[in-house]
Amino acid sequence: MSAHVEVRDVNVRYGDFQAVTGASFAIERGTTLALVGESGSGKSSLAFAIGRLLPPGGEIASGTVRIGDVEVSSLAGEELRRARGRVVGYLAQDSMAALNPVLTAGLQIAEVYAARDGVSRSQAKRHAVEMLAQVGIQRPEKVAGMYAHELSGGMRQRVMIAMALALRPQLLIADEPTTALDVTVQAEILALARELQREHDVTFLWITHDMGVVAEIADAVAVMYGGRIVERGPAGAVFSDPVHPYTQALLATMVGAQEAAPKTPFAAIGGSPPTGAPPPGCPFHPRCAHAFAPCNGDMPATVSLGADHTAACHLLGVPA
Amino acid sequence: MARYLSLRIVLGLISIIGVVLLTFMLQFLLPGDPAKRIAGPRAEPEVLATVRANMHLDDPVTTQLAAYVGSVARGDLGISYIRRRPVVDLIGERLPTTAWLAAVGLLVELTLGVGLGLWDGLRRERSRGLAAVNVLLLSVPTYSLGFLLLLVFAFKLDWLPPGGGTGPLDLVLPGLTLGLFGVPYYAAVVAESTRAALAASFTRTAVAKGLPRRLIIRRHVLRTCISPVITLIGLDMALYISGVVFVETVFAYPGIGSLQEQAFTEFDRPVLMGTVIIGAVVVIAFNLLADVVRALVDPRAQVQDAG
Repeated sequence: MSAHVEVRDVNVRYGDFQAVTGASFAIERGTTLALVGESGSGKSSLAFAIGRLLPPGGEIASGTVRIGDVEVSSLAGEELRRARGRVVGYLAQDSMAALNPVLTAGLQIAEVYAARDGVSRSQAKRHAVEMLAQVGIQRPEKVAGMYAHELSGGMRQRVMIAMALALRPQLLIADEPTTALDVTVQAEILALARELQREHDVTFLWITHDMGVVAEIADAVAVMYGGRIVERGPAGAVFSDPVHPYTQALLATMVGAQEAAPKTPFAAIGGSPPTGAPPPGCPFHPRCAHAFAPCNGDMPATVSLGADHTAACHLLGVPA
Repeated sequence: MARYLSLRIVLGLISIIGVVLLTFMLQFLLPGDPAKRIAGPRAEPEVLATVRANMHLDDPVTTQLAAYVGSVARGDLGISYIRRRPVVDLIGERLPTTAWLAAVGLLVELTLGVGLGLWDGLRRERSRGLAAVNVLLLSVPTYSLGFLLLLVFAFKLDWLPPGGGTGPLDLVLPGLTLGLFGVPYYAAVVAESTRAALAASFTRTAVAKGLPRRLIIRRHVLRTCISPVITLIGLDMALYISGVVFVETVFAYPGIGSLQEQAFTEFDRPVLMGTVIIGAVVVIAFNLLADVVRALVDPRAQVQDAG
């Protein structure tokens, strides 16, 4: 049986720059895959590629993205437009910038129904208010008439969620939607996402750099570095048994890691992620504590560790 | 909003008082003796003395100032030396004529400026054609543009009247000259706002919702361009009014601008001072109006005012 969402060998290019190389993963219906990585790891490029929202100049050079029974990567023109919001939805990071400043929250939700379902203005408005109530907004009629700058960060993100879920997309790409929020509001939004997932079978691709968020929300994890997925697997397996040194380093940055080993200082990953073309071989080797001879030569092959858990690291001993 | 508005009105009144004081002082810089302007250059000294006394020209400056401010406050701008009629009447008669010209010029400016700006802003790359038009319009001085249009359309082609009248056809050339001058500014502002809005995160949201492109442009992109255009109209008003004076002079268009120009060459102080004050009032009023309209179309503006 094939998975609900399948990403296969996707390469993303901006002109000569290759932002994502050979990314593959699958997401089961009603589950959350967390795509984890630092800024510049290619996670946003991959997310935009899957959501078909790459900026001008960016393209899916090869590979396929299938969501449900729609091959999203080959859509164009009107077909692509119709797939937006219904097949794949997008939830942006900065809700202040992602909402139009001169239009009310209600209109920005209602216009989805009016333009896409062809319902009347008043009916679209009613749908919008219902949607706002569904994402836990008190007094939704009032909030529908408010502008982005009049709403709190948490409220704005709820409005964004209502908007993204309006057409019940098969996959919702959440691009670090809680990064700009303070911790308590972040917890509320994560709880809301889980609740919506339970009730409406929402499938999430959740982009984040925060392993704490991953622990809260993810069923599966894919870790990206230098444009490649270096490790992926069920959240439990990746958390309890991380294989790739980069995954281990990321997990060591978590607050929870303190409790496991109280004496150790917070781990910082030395160096910085590649900004231009990644180095030859494994992209992580210049920063890797375990780097040895083969690492700057070839890209390590992706090795299966059983139960959907894979990693690409020379330490796993399989020659490329 | 009400607090902000009253503050702005008070500030506007203070500016107008400043302009009145300035124009009062300015008259002492003008050459010529007002008494001679009225009594004639060969008037007897006794006659001149009488005229001076009647005009309170021998009073202390402070007394003159108080009298002047007082009469301006009552809406009395004095009597023209040359035309022997109240300045208020002279200005009032010509105000509609000038308003028509200003409106046509603004229409040209907005239609062409916003149109070109949108056309350029919606393209992926900046248009070289628009850049060339901008350079041309910016580098050709207004006076040569006015004379060029006159030469071609009035004298060579004889399509349009060369000026002097106030009919609709008489508005075409002056309106075009007045409007073309501002086109590059509006085009640049609109093109940049459009580009910024197209690249904005909220436009990506609109695309992700699967809205039709036309709707995205009309509702999400264009609405955010209105505010900067209104701001520009307000900012440009002072320059625009000097353009009106100039264009009216070139085309012998009988409005307030040509009245001012005549008053200047005739040393008709009351008329000159009156037109300067009216100009200042219009500039201040339009800036206020621009702020109010912007607050109405842009919900963010009200928040900034509250702070």
